[in-house]
Amino acid sequence: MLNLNIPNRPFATEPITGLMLPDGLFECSLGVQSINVHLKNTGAAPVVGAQIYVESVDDPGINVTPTTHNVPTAQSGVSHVFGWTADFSLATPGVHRISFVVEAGAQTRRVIKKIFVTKVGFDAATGAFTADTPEGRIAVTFHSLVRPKRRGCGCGCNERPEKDPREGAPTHGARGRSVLDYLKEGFKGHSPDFVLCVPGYLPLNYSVSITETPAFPGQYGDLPFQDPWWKLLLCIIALLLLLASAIAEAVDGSGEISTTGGPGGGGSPSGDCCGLAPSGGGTSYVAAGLLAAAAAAATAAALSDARDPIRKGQDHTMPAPGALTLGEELDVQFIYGEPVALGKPFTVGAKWDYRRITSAGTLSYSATEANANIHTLSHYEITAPDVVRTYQKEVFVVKGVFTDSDGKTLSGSALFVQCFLCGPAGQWRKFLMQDNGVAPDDKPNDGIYTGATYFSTRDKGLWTYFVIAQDVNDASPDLTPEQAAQIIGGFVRTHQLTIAFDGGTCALVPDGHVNVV
Amino acid sequence: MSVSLEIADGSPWYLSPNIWTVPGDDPEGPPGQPIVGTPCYMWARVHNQGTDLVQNAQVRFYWANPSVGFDRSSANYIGTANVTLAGGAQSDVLCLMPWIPTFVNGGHECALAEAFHTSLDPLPATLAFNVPTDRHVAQRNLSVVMAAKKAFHLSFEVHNTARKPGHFKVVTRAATAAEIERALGIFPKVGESLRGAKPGEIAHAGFMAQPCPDTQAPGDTPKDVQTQLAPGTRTGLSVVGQLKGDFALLHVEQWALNRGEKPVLVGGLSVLVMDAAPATKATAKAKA
Repeated sequence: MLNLNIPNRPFATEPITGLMLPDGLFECSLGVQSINVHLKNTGAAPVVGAQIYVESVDDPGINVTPTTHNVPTAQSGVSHVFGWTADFSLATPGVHRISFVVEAGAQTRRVIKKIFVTKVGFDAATGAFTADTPEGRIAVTFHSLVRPKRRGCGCGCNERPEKDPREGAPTHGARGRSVLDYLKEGFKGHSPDFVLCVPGYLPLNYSVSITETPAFPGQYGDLPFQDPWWKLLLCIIALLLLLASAIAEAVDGSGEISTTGGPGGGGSPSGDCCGLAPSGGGTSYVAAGLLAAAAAAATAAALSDARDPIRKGQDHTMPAPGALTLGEELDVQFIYGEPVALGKPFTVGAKWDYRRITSAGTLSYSATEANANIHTLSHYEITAPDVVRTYQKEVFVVKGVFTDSDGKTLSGSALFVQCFLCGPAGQWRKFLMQDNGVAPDDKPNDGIYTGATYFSTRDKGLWTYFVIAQDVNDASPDLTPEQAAQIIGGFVRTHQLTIAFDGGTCALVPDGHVNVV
Repeated sequence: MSVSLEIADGSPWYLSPNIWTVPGDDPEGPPGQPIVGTPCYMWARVHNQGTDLVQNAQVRFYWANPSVGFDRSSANYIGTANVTLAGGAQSDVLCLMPWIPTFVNGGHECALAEAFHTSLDPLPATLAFNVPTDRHVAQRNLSVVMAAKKAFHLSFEVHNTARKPGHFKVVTRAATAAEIERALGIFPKVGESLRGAKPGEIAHAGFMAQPCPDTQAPGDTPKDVQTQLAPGTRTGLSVVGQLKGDFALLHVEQWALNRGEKPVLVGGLSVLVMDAAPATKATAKAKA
């Protein structure tokens, strides 16, 4: 039997920043994404000369570009990352299945894995951003966002056009379009002229409405996709809005996300935040990815990984016998007491009011709590050469060692690690770093993730690099939805970005520079 | 490069054992008949008869109403799968796109698959499937029907996929013992349950124009039908007969009668007829 397996759920990386989406969910509005898997040799013997390809997908709206990857050697217990480009523009939101075929010599193994696909949209009638799942629709209306204290061009904004084309609510983007439209239509590849300017950084005050399909009896409804907490969709929406807003602002200055006065009022209790002022091109794309990751991480932290406010609200509101729950509502105010530092155990407070609308009346529950980000590293070390001599055809090798909060060195498939390169002419490139013992990595599962790339003579100049490690959802398929919901991945664990609330410039710290000569 | 993809035909050619269906939620479950309203997954066994590796070849899957002589424009596309094959290798390819059989023609449908590579081994540039002559394509046109009071019927369509008017003759042919054995292998569950049952024959096999004919009035149905079809058109017929024995396999063949030329077999389907009120223990088990 061929012991090459795919233990974890395949995960998405999006094309704009190259980062994994929260929990690896795929999103229709992003269009083309990458389907990534960890292929692991679960047997005792090495496997030589294997190959893997995507055989088939169960949704005609998911268009995978056929690619066969070679796996020259797969050592026992070692994972290798492979990715396929796929267009999800026409995908149906829901749980889908993908079959992968792994072959080595005469041995073949078919691995069928589930993936989750969301479809985020904008409801012009209500001003809410929505995400559809088979279990229901979640709608989010933002009342206020944490914004950089330095507005306008202080954060590196483009000048707005003299004739502002926007009409009506800015959320619609230019000419009445949804800002989400810019995710596909506005992104035409990585431009060296792209300058990050996002009007709003972090969610602060918003209302959530969930309409389950169908209405459910009893105390608990289904989780979206029968897996993550509903809050994960809030993370996705927060991330997408930030990316869309950044692109819209760069394209035509229409990246403003409109907010409406709502319960709890607007305004930040902790003041406005610092502003990012990255240079254009590659650094701005990395900054956009980290900023979006920070918005998702803050949302995830505030609403707790262990049990989100929707589930806690259900815990404390028992419907009358025979009553159906028709919908659920949540008003949330985040309280940022300390800087949001990616990969560190920052704490975010949340004051929330939950309402369960049933066929026999409305039940409510409120709470104020503070939760810490658990997607952390205690420290990490990156090593790479300071100089690469193209005339000697030197290879640029980057190594990273990542230590979790318990002091344990993470290895193998525990992390998804990429190195992002930002060039002097606005270039943006990335490459994978793996701990699989395949060159340039020296030894599998030793906790040293390694990747490499070459520079050409046209690349001369000072490059900046960021090594971004994200965690991976490693929930086993036999967990119950309640158990699986508590395990989420796709969050940035490295420390390149800190959003503080005392104005000034946000700390965007690269992992190093390399002089290409 | 030597790449030569094939999904082998059956005998008769429209009864390929290299295409099969798996009803239910588990695409890797046992093969079986499509069930109306239940997801059904299609598989094809693809062989690279060439000597070179082909990566990312495509396999397209279709279904059609029970019919003879349909083409790419009249078949219903289900989905596409990919396969990578070394020279001389073969692989079972799964189409993960579920097909939900409908009540069209009582839920009896025909399955078809074609394997190709867009540049290394492309399909012929024609709408016609040309199953018997094109190695890329295979067809499994087998319906299983239950005979009530020993009588049965199956509605099907006769297509003229050509760009000129066609003259066709539709006939029935009793299956040989070898053909019965192979057909039972297509649905192993049915075949296994019929073990020990007595193969019989179809008496008074013939055709009627009605989609739901009175099958209890045998004997006066024409044994063959000749029809003239305009280009791209189709007509409906029902094959009827009386089952003698526990089960029987009957072929329906469509022959093109071109003036001055020998008749050419252009389409076919097979009907496995089982007794709805079995006299034997074996067929009772099969029905269950």
